[in-house]
Amino acid sequence: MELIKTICIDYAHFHRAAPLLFYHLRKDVFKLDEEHYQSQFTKKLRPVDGLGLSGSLFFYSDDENFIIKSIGRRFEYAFLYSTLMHPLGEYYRENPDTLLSEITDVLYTFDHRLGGYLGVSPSHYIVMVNVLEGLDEGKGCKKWDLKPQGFFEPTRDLVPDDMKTEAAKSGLADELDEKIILTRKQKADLMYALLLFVCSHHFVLGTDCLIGASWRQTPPS
Amino acid sequence: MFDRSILETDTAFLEIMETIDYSVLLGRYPISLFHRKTDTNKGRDALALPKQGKTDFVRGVISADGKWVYKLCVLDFFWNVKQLQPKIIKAAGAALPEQTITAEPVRYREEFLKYIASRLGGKLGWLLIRVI
Repeated sequence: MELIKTICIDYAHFHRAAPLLFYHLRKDVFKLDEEHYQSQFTKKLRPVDGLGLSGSLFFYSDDENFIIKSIGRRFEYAFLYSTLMHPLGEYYRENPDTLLSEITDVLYTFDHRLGGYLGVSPSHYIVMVNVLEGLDEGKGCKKWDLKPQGFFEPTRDLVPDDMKTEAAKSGLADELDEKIILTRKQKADLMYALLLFVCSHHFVLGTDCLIGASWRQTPPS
Repeated sequence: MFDRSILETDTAFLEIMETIDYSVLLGRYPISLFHRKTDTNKGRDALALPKQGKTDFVRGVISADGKWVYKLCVLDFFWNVKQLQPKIIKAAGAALPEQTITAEPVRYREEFLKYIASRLGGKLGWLLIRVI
């Protein structure tokens, strides 16, 4: 097997960081077709409008299966290279159900043409699976970026104003404005299997539990 | 015996990595946009109907009322507090004297889990965050 260690996007040359690590993740963990994956980088990428909440540049791969995102700030990519990358690879491997966005490549370049027309030329990028592929707001779809408020907001506080969108300037993530209708099992798998277990245990023992009443109709599976 | 939920496990890893400020990207699609799985193309088929009863939030889950498909993932987990510390102090001193700054991975994780449980958990979520 020969690893492809550099790729060319819009005439800019990129080097792959840890090509072997990501090759195996794509093949063994994310179950991606390698030929299809590599072919995406021989085609033109489409810039995604707006810098988004994180102040990054985004591109879609030709088929929109993947998103290429710039990691513009030094403390972000320094952390990625020096600390996160290998433990994250191991974590993906051990936790196939993870919700952490699937990073399929880390790229760097010394070529500053990509994104240069926006006056910003980031040198570090990640490629990740586009989880919300096919999400079309014109067809009744909707999306939200959710996180707790009232915390230190790095984008709002550290990125120069002229690099930010209006949303990023105000530092607001989205407020969820409709009810998300999940089944009890989905909620448990996602958020609180542990708590449900503890409560069910209490219930079985006859101890009063806050949510005991709702369990009488549908026993936990 | 029992498993930790997916978000609890993922955020425990992020806590060990000492990151903060990650978020959940949630998408909602009308179920009519989805079709039965066909293996025609080599990429992933993003609009293949998720299997009923299977909980895979990345590939999609069908809502309890059967009208929607939800997909979600955790994004932006590169803000490591050790790398950030000097910047935080600088920003805090200059621009944000009045803001309570939380840059502890443990507390961020707790607030994050509570926030998501309260927004996505319905009544049960609200109850649970009052208990914990």
